[in-house]
Amino acid sequence: MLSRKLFDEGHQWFVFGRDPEKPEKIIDTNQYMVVADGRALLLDPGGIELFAVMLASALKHVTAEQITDLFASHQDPDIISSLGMWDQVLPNATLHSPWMWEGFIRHFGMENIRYAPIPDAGGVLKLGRLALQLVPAHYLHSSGNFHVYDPLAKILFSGDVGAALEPGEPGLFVDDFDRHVDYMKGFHQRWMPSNTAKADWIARVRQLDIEMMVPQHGRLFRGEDVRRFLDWFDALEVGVIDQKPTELAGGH
Amino acid sequence: MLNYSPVPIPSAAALANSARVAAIAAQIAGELYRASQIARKLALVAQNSRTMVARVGEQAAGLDVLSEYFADLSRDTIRLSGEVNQLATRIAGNSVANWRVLRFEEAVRESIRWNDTSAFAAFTAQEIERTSERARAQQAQFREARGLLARRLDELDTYMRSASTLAVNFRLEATKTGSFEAVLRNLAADLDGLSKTIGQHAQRSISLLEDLRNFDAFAQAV
Repeated sequence: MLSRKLFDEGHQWFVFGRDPEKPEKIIDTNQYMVVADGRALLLDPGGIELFAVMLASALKHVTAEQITDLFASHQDPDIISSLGMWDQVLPNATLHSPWMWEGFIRHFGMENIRYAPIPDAGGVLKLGRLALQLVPAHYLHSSGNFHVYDPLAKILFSGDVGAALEPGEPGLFVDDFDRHVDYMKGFHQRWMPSNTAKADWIARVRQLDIEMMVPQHGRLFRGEDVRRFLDWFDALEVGVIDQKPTELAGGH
Repeated sequence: MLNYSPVPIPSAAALANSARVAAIAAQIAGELYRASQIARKLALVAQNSRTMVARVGEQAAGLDVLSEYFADLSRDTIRLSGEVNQLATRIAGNSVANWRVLRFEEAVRESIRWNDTSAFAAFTAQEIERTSERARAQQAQFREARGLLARRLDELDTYMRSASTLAVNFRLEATKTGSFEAVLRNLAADLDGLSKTIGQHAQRSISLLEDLRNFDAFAQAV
Protein backbone atom coordinates (compact mmCIF):
# COMPACT_ATOMS: atom_id res chain seq x y z
CA MET A 1 0.00 0.00 0.00
CA LEU A 2 1.26 3.42 -0.93
CA SER A 3 1.97 5.62 2.07
CA ARG A 4 2.81 9.28 1.49
CA LYS A 5 3.12 12.34 3.70
CA LEU A 6 1.07 15.17 2.23
CA PHE A 7 1.81 17.89 4.77
CA ASP A 8 4.36 18.33 7.53
CA GLU A 9 4.43 21.72 9.15
CA GLY A 10 3.75 21.37 12.85
CA HIS A 11 1.31 18.57 12.22
CA GLN A 12 1.11 15.91 9.51
CA TRP A 13 -1.25 14.53 6.91
CA PHE A 14 -0.65 11.07 5.45
CA VAL A 15 -2.40 9.30 2.60
CA PHE A 16 -2.59 5.50 2.29
CA GLY A 17 -3.89 3.81 -0.83
CA ARG A 18 -3.22 2.17 -4.18
CA ASP A 19 -3.04 -1.21 -2.48
CA PRO A 20 -1.72 -3.59 -5.16
CA GLU A 21 -2.87 -6.65 -3.20
CA LYS A 22 -6.48 -5.71 -2.69
CA PRO A 23 -8.97 -8.14 -4.24
CA GLU A 24 -9.74 -7.14 -7.81
CA LYS A 25 -13.45 -6.42 -7.40
CA ILE A 26 -12.96 -4.17 -4.38
CA ILE A 27 -12.96 -0.47 -5.20
CA ASP A 28 -9.67 1.30 -4.56
CA THR A 29 -9.79 3.75 -1.69
CA ASN A 30 -7.64 6.48 -0.19
CA GLN A 31 -7.30 6.52 3.58
CA TYR A 32 -5.90 9.52 5.43
CA MET A 33 -4.31 10.10 8.80
CA VAL A 34 -3.81 13.43 10.55
CA VAL A 35 -1.27 13.54 13.36
CA ALA A 36 -1.16 16.48 15.76
CA ASP A 37 0.14 16.93 19.30
CA GLY A 38 0.88 13.22 19.67
CA ARG A 39 -2.63 12.17 18.63
CA ALA A 40 -3.74 10.62 15.37
CA LEU A 41 -7.02 10.70 13.50
CA LEU A 42 -7.90 8.21 10.76
CA LEU A 43 -10.21 9.58 8.06
CA ASP A 44 -12.45 7.00 6.40
CA PRO A 45 -10.24 4.12 7.61
CA GLY A 46 -11.63 1.77 4.98
CA GLY A 47 -13.18 -1.64 4.52
CA ILE A 48 -12.49 -4.78 6.49
CA GLU A 49 -10.45 -6.23 3.61
CA LEU A 50 -7.92 -3.40 3.98
CA PHE A 51 -7.64 -3.49 7.76
CA ALA A 52 -4.41 -5.53 7.96
CA VAL A 53 -2.45 -3.37 5.56
CA MET A 54 -3.91 -0.15 7.00
CA LEU A 55 -2.94 -1.17 10.52
CA ALA A 56 0.60 -1.97 9.38
CA SER A 57 0.85 1.29 7.42
CA ALA A 58 -0.53 3.57 10.12
CA LEU A 59 1.67 2.04 12.81
CA LYS A 60 4.76 2.90 10.81
CA HIS A 61 4.11 6.52 11.81
CA VAL A 62 2.32 6.36 15.17
CA THR A 63 1.63 3.88 17.95
CA ALA A 64 -1.80 2.30 18.40
CA GLU A 65 -2.27 4.31 21.63
CA GLN A 66 -1.80 7.53 19.67
CA ILE A 67 -4.74 6.76 17.36
CA THR A 68 -7.41 8.37 19.49
CA ASP A 69 -9.96 9.30 16.84
CA LEU A 70 -11.63 7.90 13.76
CA PHE A 71 -13.80 9.77 11.30
CA ALA A 72 -16.32 8.18 8.96
CA SER A 73 -17.76 10.60 6.43
CA HIS A 74 -20.77 8.33 6.01
CA GLN A 75 -21.93 4.75 6.46
CA ASP A 76 -20.69 2.91 3.39
CA PRO A 77 -18.72 -0.34 3.81
CA ASP A 78 -15.67 0.94 1.91
CA ILE A 79 -15.54 3.77 4.45
CA ILE A 80 -15.85 2.00 7.77
CA SER A 81 -16.60 -1.73 7.59
CA SER A 82 -13.22 -2.26 9.28
CA LEU A 83 -14.73 -0.76 12.46
CA GLY A 84 -15.14 -4.18 14.13
CA MET A 85 -11.38 -4.68 13.78
CA TRP A 86 -10.34 -1.18 14.94
CA ASP A 87 -12.69 -1.69 17.87
CA GLN A 88 -10.41 -4.47 19.12
CA VAL A 89 -7.14 -2.64 18.72
CA LEU A 90 -8.30 0.88 19.72
CA PRO A 91 -10.72 0.25 22.58
CA ASN A 92 -10.46 3.82 23.86
CA ALA A 93 -10.89 5.64 20.57
CA THR A 94 -13.76 7.89 19.49
CA LEU A 95 -15.55 7.60 16.16
CA HIS A 96 -16.88 10.85 14.72
CA SER A 97 -19.63 10.28 12.20
CA PRO A 98 -23.01 11.70 11.17
CA TRP A 99 -25.59 11.35 13.94
CA MET A 100 -28.04 9.61 11.64
CA TRP A 101 -25.77 6.66 10.89
CA GLU A 102 -24.97 5.54 14.42
CA GLY A 103 -27.51 2.72 14.48
CA PHE A 104 -26.33 1.54 11.07
CA ILE A 105 -22.59 1.82 11.58
CA ARG A 106 -22.81 -0.17 14.81
CA HIS A 107 -23.71 -3.16 12.63
CA PHE A 108 -20.02 -3.30 11.66
CA GLY A 109 -19.21 -4.20 15.27
CA MET A 110 -18.53 -1.58 17.93
CA GLU A 111 -18.32 -2.65 21.55
CA ASN A 112 -15.54 -0.42 22.83
CA ILE A 113 -15.09 2.62 20.63
CA ARG A 114 -17.20 5.65 21.58
CA TYR A 115 -19.54 7.12 18.97
CA ALA A 116 -19.48 10.94 18.77
CA PRO A 117 -22.45 11.91 16.60
CA ILE A 118 -21.89 14.92 14.32
CA PRO A 119 -24.94 17.21 14.13
CA ASP A 120 -26.26 18.18 10.71
CA ALA A 121 -24.70 21.65 10.92
CA GLY A 122 -21.21 20.18 11.38
CA GLY A 123 -18.73 21.27 14.01
CA VAL A 124 -15.12 21.14 15.07
CA LEU A 125 -12.99 18.09 15.74
CA LYS A 126 -10.14 18.92 18.10
CA LEU A 127 -6.98 16.94 17.75
CA GLY A 128 -4.80 18.39 20.46
CA ARG A 129 -4.55 22.07 19.57
CA LEU A 130 -5.52 21.44 15.95
CA ALA A 131 -9.13 22.35 15.20
CA LEU A 132 -10.47 20.54 12.15
CA GLN A 133 -13.72 21.74 10.63
CA LEU A 134 -16.45 19.18 9.92
CA VAL A 135 -18.05 20.52 6.76
CA PRO A 136 -21.61 19.42 5.91
CA ALA A 137 -21.78 17.57 2.59
CA HIS A 138 -25.22 16.00 2.88
CA TYR A 139 -26.47 14.11 -0.18
CA LEU A 140 -22.94 14.05 -1.61
CA HIS A 141 -23.57 11.25 -1.90
CA SER A 142 -24.94 9.96 1.41
CA SER A 143 -27.90 11.72 3.00
CA GLY A 144 -25.81 12.29 6.13
CA ASN A 145 -22.30 13.19 5.04
CA PHE A 146 -19.34 15.33 6.17
CA HIS A 147 -15.99 16.45 4.85
CA VAL A 148 -13.01 17.60 6.91
CA TYR A 149 -11.18 20.88 6.42
CA ASP A 150 -7.85 21.69 7.98
CA PRO A 151 -7.43 25.49 7.92
CA LEU A 152 -3.73 25.32 8.81
CA ALA A 153 -2.72 22.77 6.19
CA LYS A 154 -5.40 24.12 3.81
CA ILE A 155 -6.42 20.56 2.99
CA LEU A 156 -10.02 19.54 2.37
CA PHE A 157 -10.84 15.86 2.73
CA SER A 158 -13.75 15.65 0.31
CA GLY A 159 -14.97 12.06 0.68
CA ASP A 160 -16.66 10.91 -2.50
CA VAL A 161 -16.66 14.40 -4.04
CA GLY A 162 -13.80 14.52 -6.51
CA ALA A 163 -13.66 10.73 -6.62
CA ALA A 164 -12.54 9.07 -9.82
CA LEU A 165 -12.76 5.49 -11.00
CA GLU A 166 -9.61 5.20 -13.04
CA PRO A 167 -8.37 1.84 -14.29
CA GLY A 168 -4.74 0.75 -14.21
CA GLU A 169 -2.28 2.31 -11.82
CA PRO A 170 -3.13 6.00 -11.60
CA GLY A 171 -0.71 8.51 -10.14
CA LEU A 172 -1.33 10.15 -6.80
CA PHE A 173 -2.15 13.64 -8.07
CA VAL A 174 -4.22 14.90 -10.97
CA ASP A 175 -1.77 15.94 -13.67
CA ASP A 176 -4.14 16.48 -16.59
CA PHE A 177 -7.47 17.79 -15.36
CA ASP A 178 -9.29 17.63 -18.71
CA ARG A 179 -8.37 13.98 -19.10
CA HIS A 180 -9.25 13.25 -15.49
CA VAL A 181 -12.81 14.45 -16.08
CA ASP A 182 -13.46 11.26 -18.05
CA TYR A 183 -12.95 9.21 -14.89
CA MET A 184 -15.04 11.48 -12.67
CA LYS A 185 -18.05 12.40 -14.77
CA GLY A 186 -20.08 9.18 -14.64
CA PHE A 187 -19.36 8.68 -10.96
CA HIS A 188 -20.53 12.16 -9.98
CA GLN A 189 -23.59 12.08 -12.20
CA ARG A 190 -24.73 8.74 -10.80
CA TRP A 191 -23.58 8.79 -7.18
CA MET A 192 -24.46 12.42 -6.43
CA PRO A 193 -28.24 12.69 -6.36
CA SER A 194 -28.97 16.39 -5.81
CA ASN A 195 -28.07 19.54 -7.76
CA THR A 196 -29.33 21.64 -4.83
CA ALA A 197 -27.05 19.84 -2.39
CA LYS A 198 -24.17 20.16 -4.83
CA ALA A 199 -24.68 23.94 -5.22
CA ASP A 200 -24.93 24.35 -1.44
CA TRP A 201 -21.66 22.46 -0.93
CA ILE A 202 -19.84 24.39 -3.67
CA ALA A 203 -20.92 27.72 -2.17
CA ARG A 204 -19.65 26.61 1.23
CA VAL A 205 -16.37 25.21 -0.04
CA ARG A 206 -15.58 28.23 -2.21
CA GLN A 207 -15.27 30.23 0.99
CA LEU A 208 -12.45 27.98 2.20
CA ASP A 209 -8.80 28.55 1.40
CA ILE A 210 -7.88 25.18 -0.13
CA GLU A 211 -4.48 24.15 -1.42
CA MET A 212 -5.26 20.46 -1.63
CA MET A 213 -8.55 18.61 -2.06
CA VAL A 214 -8.19 14.92 -1.24
CA PRO A 215 -11.02 12.55 -2.14
CA GLN A 216 -11.62 8.99 -0.95
CA HIS A 217 -11.15 7.46 -4.41
CA GLY A 218 -8.75 8.35 -7.19
CA ARG A 219 -6.27 11.13 -7.63
CA LEU A 220 -5.78 14.12 -5.33
CA PHE A 221 -6.24 17.74 -6.48
CA ARG A 222 -3.80 20.49 -5.67
CA GLY A 223 -3.36 24.14 -6.51
CA GLU A 224 -5.31 25.36 -9.48
CA ASP A 225 -6.90 21.95 -10.05
CA VAL A 226 -9.03 22.49 -6.93
CA ARG A 227 -10.67 25.57 -8.50
CA ARG A 228 -10.97 23.72 -11.82
CA PHE A 229 -12.77 20.91 -10.08
CA LEU A 230 -15.21 23.27 -8.33
CA ASP A 231 -16.00 25.02 -11.64
CA TRP A 232 -16.44 21.69 -13.42
CA PHE A 233 -18.63 20.26 -10.67
CA ASP A 234 -20.69 23.47 -10.56
CA ALA A 235 -21.54 23.07 -14.24
CA LEU A 236 -22.24 19.35 -14.05
CA GLU A 237 -25.81 18.16 -13.81
CA VAL A 238 -25.97 15.35 -11.26
CA GLY A 239 -28.61 12.79 -10.39
CA VAL A 240 -28.74 11.55 -13.97
CA ILE A 241 -27.88 8.33 -15.72
CA ASP A 242 -26.41 8.80 -19.15
CA GLN A 243 -23.81 6.07 -19.16
CA LYS A 244 -23.85 2.31 -19.23
CA PRO A 245 -23.13 0.60 -15.90
CA THR A 246 -19.86 -0.79 -17.25
CA GLU A 247 -18.68 2.72 -18.09
CA LEU A 248 -19.71 3.92 -14.64
CA ALA A 249 -17.51 1.29 -13.10
CA GLY A 250 -14.55 2.78 -14.91
CA GLY A 251 -13.79 -0.43 -16.74
CA HIS A 252 -13.71 -2.58 -13.54
CA MET B 1 11.59 -12.98 16.43
CA LEU B 2 7.91 -13.70 17.16
CA ASN B 3 7.05 -16.06 19.99
CA TYR B 4 3.70 -17.29 18.71
CA SER B 5 2.67 -19.84 16.15
CA PRO B 6 2.68 -18.27 12.70
CA VAL B 7 -0.14 -20.55 11.59
CA PRO B 8 -3.20 -18.37 11.10
CA ILE B 9 -6.76 -19.53 11.52
CA PRO B 10 -8.29 -19.04 8.08
CA SER B 11 -11.04 -16.48 8.41
CA ALA B 12 -13.13 -18.27 5.80
CA ALA B 13 -13.06 -21.43 7.90
CA ALA B 14 -13.70 -19.43 11.07
CA LEU B 15 -16.60 -17.68 9.40
CA ALA B 16 -18.00 -20.96 8.11
CA ASN B 17 -17.75 -22.44 11.61
CA SER B 18 -19.31 -19.39 13.17
CA ALA B 19 -22.17 -19.49 10.72
CA ARG B 20 -22.59 -23.24 11.27
CA VAL B 21 -22.66 -22.88 15.07
CA ALA B 22 -25.18 -20.05 14.76
CA ALA B 23 -27.25 -22.21 12.39
CA ILE B 24 -27.20 -25.19 14.77
CA ALA B 25 -28.18 -22.97 17.69
CA ALA B 26 -31.02 -21.54 15.60
CA GLN B 27 -32.15 -25.05 14.64
CA ILE B 28 -32.25 -26.06 18.31
CA ALA B 29 -34.23 -22.92 19.13
CA GLY B 30 -36.56 -23.80 16.23
CA GLU B 31 -37.07 -27.35 17.50
CA LEU B 32 -37.92 -26.06 20.96
CA TYR B 33 -40.21 -23.40 19.56
CA ARG B 34 -42.19 -26.11 17.79
CA ALA B 35 -42.12 -28.15 21.01
CA SER B 36 -43.55 -25.18 22.91
CA GLN B 37 -46.36 -24.83 20.36
CA ILE B 38 -47.24 -28.49 20.94
CA ALA B 39 -46.94 -27.97 24.68
CA ARG B 40 -49.68 -25.35 24.39
CA LYS B 41 -51.91 -27.99 22.80
CA LEU B 42 -50.86 -30.38 25.56
CA ALA B 43 -51.93 -27.81 28.14
CA LEU B 44 -55.38 -27.67 26.54
CA VAL B 45 -55.70 -31.45 26.46
CA ALA B 46 -54.56 -31.64 30.09
CA GLN B 47 -57.18 -29.01 30.98
CA ASN B 48 -59.85 -30.99 29.14
CA SER B 49 -58.86 -34.18 30.90
CA ARG B 50 -59.06 -32.45 34.31
CA THR B 51 -62.54 -31.20 33.45
CA MET B 52 -63.57 -34.66 32.33
CA VAL B 53 -62.06 -36.31 35.42
CA ALA B 54 -64.00 -33.90 37.66
CA ARG B 55 -67.18 -34.82 35.82
CA VAL B 56 -66.54 -38.55 36.25
CA GLY B 57 -66.02 -38.09 40.00
CA GLU B 58 -64.86 -40.77 42.42
CA GLN B 59 -64.32 -43.42 39.71
CA ALA B 60 -61.56 -41.28 38.14
CA ALA B 61 -59.76 -40.19 41.31
CA GLY B 62 -56.47 -41.71 40.06
CA LEU B 63 -56.64 -39.66 36.87
CA ASP B 64 -56.73 -36.32 38.65
CA VAL B 65 -53.07 -36.56 39.66
CA LEU B 66 -52.10 -37.67 36.15
CA SER B 67 -53.95 -34.75 34.54
CA GLU B 68 -52.23 -32.38 36.94
CA TYR B 69 -48.88 -33.86 35.92
CA PHE B 70 -49.54 -33.23 32.23
CA ALA B 71 -50.60 -29.66 32.97
CA ASP B 72 -47.30 -29.14 34.83
CA LEU B 73 -45.44 -30.81 32.00
CA SER B 74 -46.83 -28.45 29.41
CA ARG B 75 -45.94 -25.41 31.58
CA ASP B 76 -42.41 -26.75 32.11
CA THR B 77 -41.99 -27.39 28.39
CA ILE B 78 -42.99 -23.81 27.56
CA ARG B 79 -40.62 -22.46 30.21
CA LEU B 80 -37.78 -24.70 29.06
CA SER B 81 -38.25 -23.76 25.44
CA GLY B 82 -37.95 -20.08 26.44
CA GLU B 83 -34.72 -20.81 28.30
CA VAL B 84 -33.36 -22.87 25.43
CA ASN B 85 -34.16 -20.04 23.04
CA GLN B 86 -32.17 -17.61 25.19
CA LEU B 87 -29.24 -20.03 25.39
CA ALA B 88 -29.34 -20.63 21.64
CA THR B 89 -29.30 -16.87 21.05
CA ARG B 90 -26.33 -16.55 23.41
CA ILE B 91 -24.47 -19.30 21.55
CA ALA B 92 -25.20 -17.71 18.16
CA GLY B 93 -24.07 -14.27 19.39
CA ASN B 94 -20.96 -15.77 20.92
CA SER B 95 -20.06 -17.50 17.66
CA VAL B 96 -20.28 -14.21 15.75
CA ALA B 97 -18.14 -12.43 18.36
CA ASN B 98 -15.68 -15.31 18.17
CA TRP B 99 -15.47 -15.01 14.39
CA ARG B 100 -14.73 -11.30 14.74
CA VAL B 101 -11.91 -12.03 17.19
CA LEU B 102 -10.46 -14.74 14.92
CA ARG B 103 -10.77 -12.44 11.91
CA PHE B 104 -8.94 -9.74 13.86
CA GLU B 105 -6.19 -12.16 14.83
CA GLU B 106 -5.78 -13.21 11.24
CA ALA B 107 -5.55 -9.58 10.13
CA VAL B 108 -2.94 -8.81 12.78
CA ARG B 109 -0.84 -11.79 11.67
CA GLU B 110 -1.24 -10.71 8.06
CA SER B 111 -0.24 -7.12 8.80
CA ILE B 112 3.30 -8.25 9.68
CA ARG B 113 3.94 -8.57 5.95
CA TRP B 114 3.75 -4.81 5.52
CA ASN B 115 5.60 -3.62 8.58
CA ASP B 116 8.76 -5.45 9.61
CA THR B 117 9.86 -3.11 12.38
CA SER B 118 10.62 -4.62 15.77
CA ALA B 119 8.16 -2.22 17.42
CA PHE B 120 5.39 -3.51 15.20
CA ALA B 121 6.41 -7.12 15.87
CA ALA B 122 6.14 -6.48 19.61
CA PHE B 123 2.78 -4.79 19.09
CA THR B 124 1.39 -7.68 17.03
CA ALA B 125 2.67 -10.29 19.51
CA GLN B 126 0.91 -8.44 22.31
CA GLU B 127 -2.30 -8.10 20.29
CA ILE B 128 -2.29 -11.79 19.38
CA GLU B 129 -1.86 -12.70 23.04
CA ARG B 130 -4.78 -10.46 24.00
CA THR B 131 -6.84 -11.92 21.16
CA SER B 132 -6.09 -15.44 22.33
CA GLU B 133 -7.28 -14.50 25.80
CA ARG B 134 -10.51 -13.12 24.36
CA ALA B 135 -10.99 -16.25 22.27
CA ARG B 136 -10.43 -18.44 25.34
CA ALA B 137 -12.99 -16.44 27.31
CA GLN B 138 -15.46 -16.82 24.45
CA GLN B 139 -14.81 -20.55 24.34
CA ALA B 140 -15.51 -20.77 28.08
CA GLN B 141 -18.78 -18.85 27.60
CA PHE B 142 -19.70 -21.11 24.70
CA ARG B 143 -19.08 -24.24 26.76
CA GLU B 144 -21.04 -22.88 29.69
CA ALA B 145 -24.04 -22.05 27.49
CA ARG B 146 -23.78 -25.39 25.74
CA GLY B 147 -23.63 -27.20 29.12
CA LEU B 148 -26.74 -25.39 30.34
CA LEU B 149 -28.45 -26.19 27.08
CA ALA B 150 -27.58 -29.87 27.45
CA ARG B 151 -28.99 -29.94 30.98
CA ARG B 152 -32.23 -28.26 29.90
CA LEU B 153 -32.66 -30.66 27.00
CA ASP B 154 -31.95 -33.69 29.21
CA GLU B 155 -34.51 -32.38 31.67
CA LEU B 156 -37.08 -32.10 28.90
CA ASP B 157 -36.22 -35.53 27.53
CA THR B 158 -36.68 -37.09 30.99
CA TYR B 159 -40.06 -35.37 31.38
CA MET B 160 -41.23 -36.75 28.07
CA ARG B 161 -40.11 -40.32 28.80
CA SER B 162 -42.07 -40.17 32.08
CA ALA B 163 -45.01 -38.72 30.19
CA SER B 164 -45.23 -41.74 27.92
CA THR B 165 -45.29 -44.10 30.91
CA LEU B 166 -47.92 -42.00 32.63
CA ALA B 167 -50.03 -41.92 29.48
CA VAL B 168 -50.17 -45.74 29.67
CA ASN B 169 -51.29 -45.48 33.31
CA PHE B 170 -53.88 -42.92 32.28
CA ARG B 171 -55.24 -45.35 29.70
CA LEU B 172 -55.40 -48.15 32.30
CA GLU B 173 -57.17 -45.95 34.83
CA ALA B 174 -59.63 -44.95 32.12
CA THR B 175 -60.87 -48.53 31.91
CA LYS B 176 -62.34 -48.08 35.39
CA THR B 177 -64.56 -45.17 34.40
CA GLY B 178 -67.40 -47.05 32.73
CA SER B 179 -69.22 -44.96 30.14
CA PHE B 180 -66.43 -42.32 30.20
CA GLU B 181 -63.78 -44.85 29.19
CA ALA B 182 -63.81 -44.11 25.46
CA VAL B 183 -63.50 -40.33 25.94
CA LEU B 184 -60.73 -40.70 28.50
CA ARG B 185 -58.86 -43.24 26.37
CA ASN B 186 -58.93 -40.72 23.53
CA LEU B 187 -57.57 -38.06 25.85
CA ALA B 188 -54.84 -40.49 26.95
CA ALA B 189 -53.94 -41.10 23.32
CA ASP B 190 -53.72 -37.33 22.72
CA LEU B 191 -51.56 -36.81 25.81
CA ASP B 192 -49.30 -39.66 24.74
CA GLY B 193 -49.06 -38.50 21.14
CA LEU B 194 -48.33 -34.87 22.01
CA SER B 195 -45.75 -35.87 24.64
CA LYS B 196 -44.04 -38.16 22.15
CA THR B 197 -43.90 -35.36 19.56
CA ILE B 198 -42.36 -33.01 22.08
CA GLY B 199 -39.93 -35.79 22.94
CA GLN B 200 -38.97 -36.09 19.26
CA HIS B 201 -38.16 -32.37 19.12
CA ALA B 202 -36.09 -32.76 22.28
CA GLN B 203 -34.25 -35.73 20.77
CA ARG B 204 -33.51 -33.84 17.56
CA SER B 205 -32.19 -30.94 19.67
CA ILE B 206 -29.96 -33.31 21.64
CA SER B 207 -28.62 -34.69 18.40
CA LEU B 208 -27.91 -31.15 17.15
CA LEU B 209 -26.15 -30.47 20.42
CA GLU B 210 -23.72 -33.27 19.55
CA ASP B 211 -22.78 -31.26 16.45
CA LEU B 212 -21.96 -28.31 18.71
CA ARG B 213 -19.64 -30.59 20.68
CA ASN B 214 -17.77 -31.30 17.45
CA PHE B 215 -17.28 -27.56 16.90
CA ASP B 216 -15.82 -27.28 20.36
CA ALA B 217 -13.34 -30.02 19.46
CA PHE B 218 -12.40 -28.04 16.34
CA ALA B 219 -11.90 -24.88 18.36
CA GLN B 220 -9.63 -26.73 20.79
CA ALA B 221 -7.64 -28.17 17.90
CA VAL B 222 -6.81 -24.74 16.51
